[in-house]
Amino acid sequence: MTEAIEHLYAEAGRQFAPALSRLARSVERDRDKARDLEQEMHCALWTSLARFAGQCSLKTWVYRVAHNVAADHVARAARGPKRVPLEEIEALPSSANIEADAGEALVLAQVAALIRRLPPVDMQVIVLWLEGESAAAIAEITGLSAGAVNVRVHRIKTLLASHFQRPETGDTP
Amino acid sequence: MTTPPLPQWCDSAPDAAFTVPAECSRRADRFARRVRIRNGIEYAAGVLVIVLFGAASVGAAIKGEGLIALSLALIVGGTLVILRNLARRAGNVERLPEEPCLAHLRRQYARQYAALRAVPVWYVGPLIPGCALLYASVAAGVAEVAGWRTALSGIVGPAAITFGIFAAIALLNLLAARGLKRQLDALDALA
Repeated sequence: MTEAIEHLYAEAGRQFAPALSRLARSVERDRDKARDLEQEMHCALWTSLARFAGQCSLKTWVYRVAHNVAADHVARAARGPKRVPLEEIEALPSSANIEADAGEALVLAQVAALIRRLPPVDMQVIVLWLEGESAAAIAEITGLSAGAVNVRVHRIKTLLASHFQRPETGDTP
Repeated sequence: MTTPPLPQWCDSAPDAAFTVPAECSRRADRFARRVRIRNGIEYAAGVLVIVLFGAASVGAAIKGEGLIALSLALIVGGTLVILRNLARRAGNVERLPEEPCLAHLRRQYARQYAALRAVPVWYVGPLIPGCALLYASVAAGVAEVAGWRTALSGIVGPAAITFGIFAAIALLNLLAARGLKRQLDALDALA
């Protein structure tokens, strides 16, 4: 049993460690706290794998655990800024308020700043979409209806498109 | 999996690796220690109230102040009920982070909603009989000597403050519960 769990954990680490790191850093600005959150996701996953019996794909399981741990982390940080639903956000956060080198790093920092302003459900959909997950996969991971996922994905596409001031490419989920 | 919409997003953190399981065991131990310390502080505060009010109750009984002794004993009993409720509620937390995110959020909100809505019953309620009897017995004692007008005028202010605090705690928690109910309804609409 332990050997099977170790194998699953190693496989999950090989496939998803970077994605979980990005998730932690997008919801937690402080570098040390983000690292701590990342470890908390790993350990919650390690513990949960004892209950994994193929109910869903390993990817769905890993993302569910990671996003739920992230949502709990956000809920504990109750004194953070007021969260605003995606449909009420008109543009990416101002670059004047973000520390980043330039170019791509600035865009990523702006997207991360946007994510930190969102309530958990919107945050989960956007991060999974940025990871390249399809609407169907996002719906399975989050439990949201396909319609609710599509509304949020459309909204973030519009926000990014208006930010870059160019039409959408159409190759997105 | 489809083409990532923002490729540079997926290019970041390429060297990330999972935490070794041994570190997870150490984290679990640290977490358990923090929980033990937090529970210890809560129980120490409860024990302090029980010792102080218990001693006062015995003292009042020795002096022949039966009603006051009974009211202080009721406050001790109420504190014991609150401590039991705290332990029972803390022990009911079930952690299943692998469930769908919406179900997980809903479970968290529902648990908080139930706890907040029940605060008047499990946190404030157990103290009310003892406090009410304490004020009534003190007023009756004063009334025997100086009349009910004097007794009531002296007791109204402190009683209003005490029960006003109880009412404020109950009201604030009920308002917070109402906010959570709205969030729960919004989550249900997304499923």
